[in-house]
Amino acid sequence: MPPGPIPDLMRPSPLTLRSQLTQWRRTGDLRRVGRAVIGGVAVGGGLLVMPGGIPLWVRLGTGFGVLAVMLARAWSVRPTLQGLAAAVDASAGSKGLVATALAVEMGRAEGGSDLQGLVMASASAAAPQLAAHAVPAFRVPWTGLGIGAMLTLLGAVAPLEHAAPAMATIRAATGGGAGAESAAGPVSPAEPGEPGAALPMASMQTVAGRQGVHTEARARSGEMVGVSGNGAGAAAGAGAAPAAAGPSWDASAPDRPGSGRPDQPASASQQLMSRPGTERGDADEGPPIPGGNQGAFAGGPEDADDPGNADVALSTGGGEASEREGGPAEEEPASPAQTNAGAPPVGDSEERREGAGDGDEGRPGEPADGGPAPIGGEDARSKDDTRTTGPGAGAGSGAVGTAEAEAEGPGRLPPLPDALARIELAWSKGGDGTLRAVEEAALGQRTTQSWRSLHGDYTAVAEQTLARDALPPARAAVVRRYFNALSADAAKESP
Amino acid sequence: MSQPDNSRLEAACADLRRLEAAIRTVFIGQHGLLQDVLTALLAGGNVLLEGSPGLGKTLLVRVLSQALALDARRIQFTPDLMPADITGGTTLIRDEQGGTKLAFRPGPVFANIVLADEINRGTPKTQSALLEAMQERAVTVGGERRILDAPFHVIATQNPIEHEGTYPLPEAQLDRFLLKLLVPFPDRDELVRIGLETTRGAVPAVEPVIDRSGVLRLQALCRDIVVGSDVAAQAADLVLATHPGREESPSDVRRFVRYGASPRAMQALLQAGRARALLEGRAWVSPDDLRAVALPVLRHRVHLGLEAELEGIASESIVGLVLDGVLPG
Repeated sequence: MPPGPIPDLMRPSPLTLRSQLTQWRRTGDLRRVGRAVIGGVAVGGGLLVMPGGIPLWVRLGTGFGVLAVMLARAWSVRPTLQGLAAAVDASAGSKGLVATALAVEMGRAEGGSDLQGLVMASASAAAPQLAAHAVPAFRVPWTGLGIGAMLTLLGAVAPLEHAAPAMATIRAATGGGAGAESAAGPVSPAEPGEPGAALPMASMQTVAGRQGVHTEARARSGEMVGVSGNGAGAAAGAGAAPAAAGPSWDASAPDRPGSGRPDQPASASQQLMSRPGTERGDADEGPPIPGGNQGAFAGGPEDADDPGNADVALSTGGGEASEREGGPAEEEPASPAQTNAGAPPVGDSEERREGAGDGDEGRPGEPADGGPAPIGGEDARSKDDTRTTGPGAGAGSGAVGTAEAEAEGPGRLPPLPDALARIELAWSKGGDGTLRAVEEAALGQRTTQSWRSLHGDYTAVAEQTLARDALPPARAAVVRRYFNALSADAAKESP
Repeated sequence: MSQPDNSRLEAACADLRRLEAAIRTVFIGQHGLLQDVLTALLAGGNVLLEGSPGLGKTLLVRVLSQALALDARRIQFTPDLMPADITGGTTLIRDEQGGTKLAFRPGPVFANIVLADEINRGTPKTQSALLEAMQERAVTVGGERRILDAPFHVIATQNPIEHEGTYPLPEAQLDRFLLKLLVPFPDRDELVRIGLETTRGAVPAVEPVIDRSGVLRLQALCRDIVVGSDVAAQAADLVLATHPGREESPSDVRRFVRYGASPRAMQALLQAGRARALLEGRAWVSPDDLRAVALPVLRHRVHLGLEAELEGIASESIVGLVLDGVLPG
């Protein structure tokens, strides 16, 4: 018996518009989710391979987070059926046919029955052409792929060994075992190339700039270096309040020779406090130097509360800037225990970062006697000026830092204890000269030879100080650039 | 699946094409105006035409009535025009036996298309004589309610230039006009055609293309045009957005509008939207239809406050603002 015509029951039943729209939406969902998965995996994969020092769980978590966000975003734009119908109409120019047909099918339309049937028939007839508008073509997530490729490339080209110390700090902050070194006390002098090795000096300035210690007045004069002071932090400006929370690194150990000289508070403090343009200098008065996000490196004055504590504060300080950005210091002066001379690290990183005194605003340095004031103003450099040197005066901004191994630099840096000893020795022998050398080095003047011998020490101390704080990777480039500039200048001036 | 019956729609489209072609033999240019008038005709609504003298308002009404084979009357509104002059009244007439009796003599309102020329020159009392006719298609004379023949349309004109001795239409009457149309000045080419084709002699009469039953059939089909709930919701949003008391309304609406559009505006939007869809040969109303009719439907239903008058804000700009907010694109 020959086969007869296919009965109607064998034919696929025509899809209703609602089911058709549902099918379109499902296809769109799959494409969006697929796009999100591809993009998320690309970005997450890039994160996995990018930063060498970041713990795996951080990378994994971030990668999954990115993926989850992209999936959530893809799902959040899932349209309703009515919305999809309207979108199809708008895209296909069908003048509301799909939306009206859907309304007819769902009993949400008014009109003659014959015309309703006509609407449904028109929508069914147009469905094949409308499908292309309902389900947009799959789009390759170029953005996600690009980010992933960029992260991968970054990981391949720059493994960020120099970020290892920062990562160590992160680990310490997050409870990881690697942070023990930071938590236990001053980081031991790192060997060149090792994580935690000395970071070029400008790291401090960058950090100081980040903390708001940097002022434009200082930037104008190129001032950035301050030396010494006590554990109360870097001083800038004559404040009545005790110096602010401890500098990130200071040698306030009582057994340190030459430190904490009560009889010399003025000179030390003046040196320190004059750097950022003390004496109520308005930080905003001076034009910034190009690229000068430089912070002051100013030591704090001797702590009035603990004058016996001789500190070598390698910290950034600026009263006005501290007030402006860091806010008045509320922290207690750093205790001797917060020094790095074999002592535990200074407070927590937040303290160091936010260290700022209540000192009055500084004033940009002005020539004392017609000549250019090398760093601070004449007031600041005047030993008789008790406003800047009085016990407890000054506002400090704790220096922070990270220990980023500078690939080309650390080899010539001496171990940290040696550096400290030499700095302090130099200070004890005649602080002005030594400090001046450091200042001049920072200012690029370098009129004496002494700075070179001190530069390495200074850098080691600075980097060690910075090593105790996480330096954002974005800052690292700035720091390196500054140090490279310093090194280049030094090389040019070397005989 | 049975084939849908679209014969009604196809026949209507054919009728409308013939009607438009017939009108265009005499009425030159003004394509948009003609579309809007046909929209009101299909929706069974009244039209208020506003334009300077000589733009062809009266001609359009006359040609339309000729093409539709409808009874058209013209009423020239003047300050001394009385309501009875419009509705008609009882008069003493002599009967066949030689006696006298009171009989109703219908006024010009008893027609299919009433041209109320310069309607704003009539007194409010006379203007209000049209209220019942426009809304309920009936007039009450001598305590007796008389139904007007369908279709019934009032096409009123008013001159925007002369304000001396005029009586602005009250809001209640304005609301009864489905559309308020501004008659634009013809462009250069149209002016040339008008000059060449209308000065040779008498304007030719237009042959009727649709009879009265055909008009009623078109209007019935117009009411059957499908409106989806989403389009109706958009129309409701349009109306609500004209109300100054709502938080969602645009700031200019809250500032300049005194009264927003009435629920009758909602009806008018859907009626006019249906008619617009029918004119385009569609069986359903699209958001584009709403967008096309929103301005003529809403411009006379949005009543501006004193601040708008001082700032020179026109209702058209307010409606445009609302339109952009609710139906962008």
